Amino acid sequence: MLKKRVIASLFIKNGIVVQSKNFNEYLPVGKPEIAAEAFNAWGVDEVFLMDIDSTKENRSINLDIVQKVAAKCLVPLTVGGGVINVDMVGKLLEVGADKVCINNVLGTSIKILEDGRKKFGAQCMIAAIDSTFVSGTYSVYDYRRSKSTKVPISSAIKKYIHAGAGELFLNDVDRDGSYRGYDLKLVQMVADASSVPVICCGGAGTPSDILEVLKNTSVSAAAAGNIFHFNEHSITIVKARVGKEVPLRQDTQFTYSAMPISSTGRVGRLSDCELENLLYEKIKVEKI
Amino acid sequence: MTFCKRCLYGTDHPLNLTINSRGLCSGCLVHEEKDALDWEPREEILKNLLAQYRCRNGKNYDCIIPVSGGRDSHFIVHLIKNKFKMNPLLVSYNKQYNTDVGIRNLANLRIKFNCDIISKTVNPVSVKSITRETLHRIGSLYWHCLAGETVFPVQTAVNLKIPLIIWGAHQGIDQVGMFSHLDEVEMTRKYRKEHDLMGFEAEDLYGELENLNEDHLHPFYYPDDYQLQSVGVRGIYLNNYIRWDSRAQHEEMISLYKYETANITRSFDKYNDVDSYVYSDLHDILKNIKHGYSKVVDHACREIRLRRMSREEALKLVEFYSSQPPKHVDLFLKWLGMSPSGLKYLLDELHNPNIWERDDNWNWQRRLEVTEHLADNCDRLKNCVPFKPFLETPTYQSTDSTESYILIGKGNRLKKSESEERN
Amino acid sequence: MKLAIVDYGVGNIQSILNSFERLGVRSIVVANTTQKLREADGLILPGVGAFGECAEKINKNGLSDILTNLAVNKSKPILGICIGMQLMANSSDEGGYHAGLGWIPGEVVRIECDKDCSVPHVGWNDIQLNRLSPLFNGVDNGAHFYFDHSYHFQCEPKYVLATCEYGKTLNVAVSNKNFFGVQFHPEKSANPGLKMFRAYLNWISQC
Repeated sequence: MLKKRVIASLFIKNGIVVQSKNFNEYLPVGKPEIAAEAFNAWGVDEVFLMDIDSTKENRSINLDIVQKVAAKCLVPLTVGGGVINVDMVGKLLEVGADKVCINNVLGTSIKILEDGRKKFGAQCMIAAIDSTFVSGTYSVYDYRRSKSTKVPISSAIKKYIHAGAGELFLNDVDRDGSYRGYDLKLVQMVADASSVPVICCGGAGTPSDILEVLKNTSVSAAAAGNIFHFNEHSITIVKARVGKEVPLRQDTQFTYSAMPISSTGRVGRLSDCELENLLYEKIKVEKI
Repeated sequence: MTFCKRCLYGTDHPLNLTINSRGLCSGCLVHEEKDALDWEPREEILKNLLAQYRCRNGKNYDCIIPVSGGRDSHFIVHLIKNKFKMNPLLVSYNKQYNTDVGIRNLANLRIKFNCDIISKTVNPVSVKSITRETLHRIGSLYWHCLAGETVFPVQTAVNLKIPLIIWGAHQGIDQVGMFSHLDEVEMTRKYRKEHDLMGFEAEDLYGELENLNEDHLHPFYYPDDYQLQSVGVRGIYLNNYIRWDSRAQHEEMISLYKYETANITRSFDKYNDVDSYVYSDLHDILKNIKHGYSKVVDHACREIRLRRMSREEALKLVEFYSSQPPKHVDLFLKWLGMSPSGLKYLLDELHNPNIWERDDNWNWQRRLEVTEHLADNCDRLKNCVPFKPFLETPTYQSTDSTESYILIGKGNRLKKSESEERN
Repeated sequence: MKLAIVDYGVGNIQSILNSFERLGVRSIVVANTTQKLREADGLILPGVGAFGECAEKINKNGLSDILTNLAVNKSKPILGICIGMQLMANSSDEGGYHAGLGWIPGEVVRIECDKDCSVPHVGWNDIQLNRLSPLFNGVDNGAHFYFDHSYHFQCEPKYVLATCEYGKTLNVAVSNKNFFGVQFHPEKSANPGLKMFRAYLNWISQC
């Protein structure tokens, strides 16, 4: 059976992965290819790489960076940032991206989705929707002007799918970096309105947040950025926790399924007895 | 390249740095949490975490503390053993560039706190081969120290089934505000590879100059993910739970346990890195050549943020100490088997062209002087006190050499009478 | 061990190269000439996009004849991925009738979906191994692979190595003598993908 997905979002600024703290403040984490390598080893289902400065700087995400990250990805890689025409999509696919995420340009024209679907297939084209809750409705947010466009989310969804988007990436601007959990009402509304898979992003603080959105809404995938950098095997641990209630893919040799896990997603201590028994047990490491 | 308006860091910092709309760097921003957060509840969180890891049947240690003779080890062991009443196993990786002071401090640690300690000394021939390779490949003579110090505790955790490793300060948080203290970030192999080891793990050093193979590199291999999971290994950082202040902590240790200080070549800090002949010496020269600034800048930024140094005082100290020539290069060349001309060639190759250029006399000259980034509208913290020089303890005597690297030392301080006899 | 990836202008070849590099294969080429392909111990036939376009490209410049000669007459091991697997069928009805290479008897038809699933079949799905096969030696039953397709391979059970559930039961791995085909993307399937590639390498070295 097809599984729901846990996705790692890497937002880059000046070529470095950053995590957002408060609004418009970013803390530097490190190179995207090193993060991608670790997340792949930890069993992530997909990697999203987005350049958050490209639109402002009138360029698309750097091809060298995409190539370096793609080399470390043995799972699907989606890239985005300043992609405004189908030629750019082609170049990104050529250097190793599997899907391309289109965002800002859709406010002006959806031609890139139409062209992309014809040339590469709808499954390559992801349409991003930045959502903000203003005056009682969810509307599309404009990063360039730092405010709502007043366009309701529901009409954007219909338009993009009709034009050729194979998936939707829903980015909750209000909850970004807040660790408050996903906005379940928003996520379900988008999932209901969409005939293609929806990926939600923005607000994840603990494994319970990811469990909640995957279990209690019909969203297809949950993406998180900041929290996956906080501890060793963070993604594996999240999947172990979520996987107890929502069927997930857990194909790493180390699944944490038998380990105690706290509500904040940190591994706990085995009992004295269990640790003592390990002293006499050979831990057989799998080599492929 | 932009500089922070408060401390002395610029956006070309090797750990990366962001500057916000107020001109403050991510490091200063996160550092503000030290005064904004209520640290009592955070200490409670630490206390509860530690309590989980106590071994109830008494057959094993509660945790592992990586230690050395030259950093915050005394404070960490004091906190964990005396204050929180845990039973730690100390582990120490032999960095080989050891001074007599470092050997004495490590012995002092072991004896005063009455702890068990396991130490790892990789054979010097391998260490020298690896160091020649890392010097050639990435301009580092310190790689083996970082690799060994960060991996040996993890190997021990896996081998002896002691899951909890307790570190002091997370360098990324401390310097560039990589994470908030509230994130409670833990040790990851990913951070070690990128920021401790400059992108090169042991497995990445095969081949090239020294034909390194598994025999040389095996001591530095990180345990497999499955092994880490089986034991539930976790490395925590105390600076997420305790308001960290390296200087104040050291001074407490000097007073309580007679931690020994020393003058190091290129910084005003007399407490950190006193155990190494190379750290504040040739290694610091390499840092300056590759990254454009010296360790004294790290120390100065730390003191500025803690309101114990003004920006002007900092710049003066940085200018003075950055220009101090190294004193122990001959020792290093002798140890490694490298000629002075070989070293000169290497240093020339390593000069970062973004930072250095040749002047008319073919000497290296900085493109942008450190003093040039004194901002007119810099952000000054209130209630800043004038800088006070670091304390100097007496120089204790032991039977260890004061003129060479000490591979394995005794470290016991001679009693006053024995000391006089020696002299 | 020499591998060759068939170059006919389609497929994300870089990911396949990355996978084999991880497995320590030093000699791997991307080629479409008789000489290079003949030198290889085993072949990989990639493929993404539409069947018709891929079939047209592979028939160009006699490439399909070269491959048929090597695979059918010289029994060279060949592994088809995604459309590469579909090309091994007799035909496909994607966008009209197109002839395939006919190496594994079968037809490629559109995935039928009811309200529980939609086309394309995209994402991670677990596979059920039908029988023991050298291609899945070391791969667990129930391992997950990454799928991305709208059409699937219908054939007799004797050629089926593995299936998955998506609305109905889909054939996801087929084989016939030295021909292997997988519908999923092992180069995008992390550990199980690597394990499958390792099994293929082991099988080739025994041939």
